[in-house]
Amino acid sequence: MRRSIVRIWTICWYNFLPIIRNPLTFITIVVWPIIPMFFMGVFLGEEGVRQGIIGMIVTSVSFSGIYVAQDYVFNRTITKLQDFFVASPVKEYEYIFGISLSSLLTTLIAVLIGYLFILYLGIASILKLIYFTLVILAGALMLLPLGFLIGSRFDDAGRVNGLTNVLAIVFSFIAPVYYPLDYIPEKFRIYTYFLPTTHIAHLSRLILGLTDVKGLGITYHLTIIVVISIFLYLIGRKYSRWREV
Amino acid sequence: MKLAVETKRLVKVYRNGVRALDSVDIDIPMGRITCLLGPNGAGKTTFLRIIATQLLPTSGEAFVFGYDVIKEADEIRSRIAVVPQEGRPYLMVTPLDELYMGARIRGFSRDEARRRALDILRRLDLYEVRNQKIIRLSGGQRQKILLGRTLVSDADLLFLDEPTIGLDPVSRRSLWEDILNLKKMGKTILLTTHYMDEAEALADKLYIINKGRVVASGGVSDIISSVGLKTAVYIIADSPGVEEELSGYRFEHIGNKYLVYVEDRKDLFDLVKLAVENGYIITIKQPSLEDVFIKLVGGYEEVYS
Ligand SMILES: Nc1ncnc2c1ncn2[C@@H]1O[C@H](COP(=O)(O)OP(=O)(O)OP(=O)(O)O)[C@@H](O)[C@H]1O
Ligand SMILES: [Mg+2]
Repeated sequence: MRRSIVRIWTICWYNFLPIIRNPLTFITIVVWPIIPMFFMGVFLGEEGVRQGIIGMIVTSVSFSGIYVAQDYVFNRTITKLQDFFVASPVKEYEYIFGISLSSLLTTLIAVLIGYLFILYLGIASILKLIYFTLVILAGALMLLPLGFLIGSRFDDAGRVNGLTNVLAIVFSFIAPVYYPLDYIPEKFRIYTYFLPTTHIAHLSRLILGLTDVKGLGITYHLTIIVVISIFLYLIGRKYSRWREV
Repeated sequence: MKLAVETKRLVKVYRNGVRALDSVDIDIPMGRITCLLGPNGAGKTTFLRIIATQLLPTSGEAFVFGYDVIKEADEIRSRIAVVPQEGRPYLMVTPLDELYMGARIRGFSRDEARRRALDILRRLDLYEVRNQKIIRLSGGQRQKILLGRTLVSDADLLFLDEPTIGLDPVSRRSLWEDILNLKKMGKTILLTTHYMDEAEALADKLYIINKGRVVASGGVSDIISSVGLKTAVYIIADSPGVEEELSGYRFEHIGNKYLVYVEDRKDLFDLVKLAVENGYIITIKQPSLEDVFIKLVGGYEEVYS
């Protein structure tokens, strides 16, 4: 058990090093989700910032799934790091946890900045903030397996990067993430439910009282997140590639 | 001799139908360097990945330290370490980071991991650059880092898949020294290569494989002599009697340059004596591993027949 934790932590640390050693990348990763919130603040005032914070946090969390996809394929096909770990005491779950944690760590700064804004603007009580945190964690648990699934389906790191960039745009800008569901005409709302980030963002707004639209309601959105997570986890497991066949 | 690895009728057919290994029996003795030599696509990496528990075989059996690669992979994994073919270290980390990571995942404490990492870095001549980002290091240094990352492990069996690819002759030799030192430390090594000189220099036991089959095995000199290639002797002589002196042998000549093929040692000895006594210039070319390789694996028309 202890050794397992050490291995997870070591892999997390090692995978995280290139990011902090490369300050420009790190700044981009942190700043990118903040930019839309900034402009919303400039053009829409405080209400813009309130909505934008949710967008920024959800986007950061969805990025963690995307980094995982990129790391997973890069380590398998380019650095051969996965082969190195397979032929070692490292277990598959330790590796998966390790690179997931380092992805979460990468997004942590932007998420923390979001929390500071929430506290500063007095958007939520501590209790609501705890519920909100749980939703964000559930969101991460949904998007990380998606990342692994994408990373395992392709052998070409370039294609994974391309695909995840498109997904990032769809997940943060097509889905009502930076703005509430209220802005989408009622009959189109159903289509946004096909995007996983919609559920995370809307659930967050319901909890923090940042939307007038009920959507599917807290229970259903939460159920959908859980169901998608379990589904992705199961097919992720099926397609996972540790020892190859 | 105790075996570290033993395979029986090992077969690998990839999902696209490629038969990469076709009933391969390979034994790897403990404490020795075993080389797999073969052309591109021969199946070397496939074999290595199967016994390193990275790839499942289609059929046949493989045991590492007596453990079944399919059913007892976990037992094997704590006793082996690999340098994958064309592996790369992360570029933004340092050699020390790489080796420290390698030691930590093997269960060494922080202090112990650091101590081991520094020790190996010193031995691989990387100590000076231990805190430099790898992006600033040369290809040979990067390759050594990958080797170092497996050495910190304390694993008994090391798999090195083309460890010297892309290195200049000096760096290659320096890496050979490192590999020979590992043997002195008691490690068992499986190394794949398509360089003849590498196999000649390092192999205690050699397997030549081609198209998924073992075509020759044994010590380097055993393999060379078992294939029955002849030794080529060149004699340069301008005396008129030379043709008569060579009449007992099969020979060809262009002007004063004679080429004689001999099979047994006595003939060779007689020819040397003849040359020395008469003041002829003599050059002996014994069959090399390369000649054997070309004969077994094909390539151009056989030189000696
Ligand atoms: N993942 C794979 N899927 C399908 N076929 C493969 C796969 N990996 C290797 N092969 C095929 O199996 C055969 C043996 O490949 P392998 O990589 O074992 O050769 P090798 O001896 O290591 O060659 P090289 O010297 O080029 O590294 C080749 O024909 C190759 O095309
Ligand atoms: Mg190979």
